Amino acid sequence: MKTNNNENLREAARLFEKDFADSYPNELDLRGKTTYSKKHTKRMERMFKRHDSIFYMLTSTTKRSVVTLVMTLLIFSNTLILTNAEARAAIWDFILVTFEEYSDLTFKSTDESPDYLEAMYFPSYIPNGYDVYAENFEDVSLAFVAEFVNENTGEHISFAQTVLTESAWVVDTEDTDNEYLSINGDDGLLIHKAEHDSYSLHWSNGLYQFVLMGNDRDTVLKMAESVSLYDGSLDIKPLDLNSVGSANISYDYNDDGTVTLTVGLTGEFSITLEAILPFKKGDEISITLGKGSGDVGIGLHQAFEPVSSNHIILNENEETIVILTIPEDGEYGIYLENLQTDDISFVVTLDKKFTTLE
Amino acid sequence: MLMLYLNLCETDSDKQKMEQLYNRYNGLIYSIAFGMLSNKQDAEDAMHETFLRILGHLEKLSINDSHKTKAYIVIACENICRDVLRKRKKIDVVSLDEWDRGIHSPIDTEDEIIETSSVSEMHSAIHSLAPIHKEIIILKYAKDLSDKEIATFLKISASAARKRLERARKALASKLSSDEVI
Repeated sequence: MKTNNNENLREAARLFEKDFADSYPNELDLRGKTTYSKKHTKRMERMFKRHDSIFYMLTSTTKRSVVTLVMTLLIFSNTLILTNAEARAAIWDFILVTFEEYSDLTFKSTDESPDYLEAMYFPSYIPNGYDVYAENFEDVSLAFVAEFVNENTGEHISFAQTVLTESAWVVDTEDTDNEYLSINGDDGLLIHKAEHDSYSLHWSNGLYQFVLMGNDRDTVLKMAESVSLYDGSLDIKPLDLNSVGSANISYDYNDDGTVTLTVGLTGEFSITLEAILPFKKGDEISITLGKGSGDVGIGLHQAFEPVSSNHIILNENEETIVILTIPEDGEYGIYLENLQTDDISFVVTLDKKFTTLE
Repeated sequence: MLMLYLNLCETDSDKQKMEQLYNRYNGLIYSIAFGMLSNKQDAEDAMHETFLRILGHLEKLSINDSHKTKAYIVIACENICRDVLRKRKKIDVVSLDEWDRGIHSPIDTEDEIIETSSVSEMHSAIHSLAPIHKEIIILKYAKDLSDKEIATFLKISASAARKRLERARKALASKLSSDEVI
């Protein structure tokens, strides 16, 4: 008898799936029977310790430390971005997808690209007068950050080494001059934003990707050219991220399609959850702020610019619900700002259905 | 001031699930990988890759659905090992085209044959398919994955996934129309 929609095949496949699984030894009988190498054991420990994606946060040079945060886990959203790209360029060892006000920058990984940082790279050239601050280098990390500070002039230079991922950096390319160049034979992109007189240099050596940000072109390039395996010779002070503000975020995808973010912000610090999903005009995003105390700014953000904002005073006894209405079709970030000097933490539940994640 | 900072996000429930899966299945995965690759280092690499692969599909895995989860993990592992073998070129991995040559069936209407066959006939026929065809039948019809999801899981293009599925259905129809089954 003829059936519709392959129903018999589905049923047969389900029966076969069990046969297939049963044709292999019982996994419980094989537990603990093998001694793995140290390398493998360490690698798996890393995976369990930190298996998620990187949040990339790049500050702008506005008065407050406005941070753009990219949820790089959402590779699907990158796909959506590509379809909306106004211009697309596959150039050298990276892909730059350019929008009106920003670009997505993705470096190509290779078979040799480690899943985690295995070796620390660092500039051997440090300009005179700069102190060196850096996180502790951990080989279970996906990223390593350093900061060079000239206390006399107040100038900062930032450096990061990260693993190569499929996810994109969101870089500010509104009114910028972009220069394609070579760093020790590797392809790089130097972005100059005249408005802030800042230079952002991105490149990869095939193993890792690197970023250097500073205000002097020659210094940035000279430091980049000097980046090599760290020899331990520098006086590196611990980098206190809280001194400039920081954000900690964890998230859970709920069974009902909502996403719950637990956000902690240090004083007077703000973040933008960028490029989560494209929205349609008139879409409403309901954001539930958990019980708590303090002042929070919340609104929509698009391509580094706030589109709407709300000043919310958290309620200690009940949740606060904020409805954000999308003004025009497009991709939006959700902007969260700590408006007080004390640290703050709260839970955000987004009830936009994240269908592309299913 | 320019400042750059990177952070990591973690989902406790996912981490817990990954560890549970690893604790339960590591011996089996290693056993399969070592059996196919005959090399401890390569087997460990394949096991690591297998768990990296299933990281992106954790929501489809459950500790309690043992045979479904087991099938998923085994398919991932075997595909990864086959890729290693292809790279090594030390064994003759039968290509899809060669499998097709063995089909030889002038079937133009495999849809009709499949739709008119009974569950038990198809159950038997699936048993006699090539491993890659068995696997894609499981992914498509037992697990109801979309072509895109299959492509992501097997690290092949969506068009390759569709082609492989088409070949699997042709092979299945061929078995069903022959005397080998029933």
